[in-house]
Amino acid sequence: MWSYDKILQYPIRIKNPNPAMATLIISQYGGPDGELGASLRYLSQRFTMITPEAIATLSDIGTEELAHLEMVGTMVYQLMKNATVEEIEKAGAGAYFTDHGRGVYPQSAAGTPFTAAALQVKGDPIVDLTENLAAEQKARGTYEYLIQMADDPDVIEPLKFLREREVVHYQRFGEALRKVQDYLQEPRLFIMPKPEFMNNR
Amino acid sequence: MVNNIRPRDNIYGMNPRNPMNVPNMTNCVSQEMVIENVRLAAAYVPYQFMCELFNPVEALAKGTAFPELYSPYDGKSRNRAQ
Repeated sequence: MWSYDKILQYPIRIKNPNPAMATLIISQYGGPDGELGASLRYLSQRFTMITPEAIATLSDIGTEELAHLEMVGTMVYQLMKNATVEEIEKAGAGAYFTDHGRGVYPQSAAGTPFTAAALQVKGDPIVDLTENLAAEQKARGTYEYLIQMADDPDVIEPLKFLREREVVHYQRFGEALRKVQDYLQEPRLFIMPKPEFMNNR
Repeated sequence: MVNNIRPRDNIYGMNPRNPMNVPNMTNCVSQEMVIENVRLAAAYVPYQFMCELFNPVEALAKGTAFPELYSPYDGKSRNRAQ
């Protein structure tokens, strides 16, 4: 169950259209290391996760990734919104415009539609949390490449915010992994109750 | 040794007499310094402990409330060949 706040996690007000940048940032919407994949990965891994801390970490971060999806979608929309068709074509975004107009479609920067093939839900808590550590680093790397290609502070500031969130998430998944490792190493004592049929003897 | 610091010491971190978060001289260490029972073929990230916090406006601008986790990107490539 979710509740929704009609507000972005971080304000986005991009004044100048930039269709070329839009078709790059779209990768963090529906690309291999994007926010949609991140939220689906974490929210799907929850069911087989162990320890209350690790389950809560997946719920919280999976939810926050949905807020990031909304931010990235807003950035793509604002970068395309006021661009003329001529500007879109000139910027090399004509292929995207052909299929999606100024809409926000989950695809990678290279045009591959969103696919769950880039994420994994293994059902093993150590496997899944280790995958998530890697996923946070891949997203951080992608944001750094986007920051290198961006020149508008209206675009760079939200990208820096999103990049820093990946750093924080890495720490949290690392702590969740520690909890799970400690739990699995704990010696456990099982006490079997005396079966009913033995009571009369 | 500081490995006996528990997360609950300093749970709220902020000193109510120091609301501007000027670094104070408390002995709060913001992370686990020694990891015990380390096994091979496992990954370990040190636990973070709550000490100082950025104020909410600063935390929103920076992307984290924790000074020790704030690591701004300088925009340069990490690959030295580039």
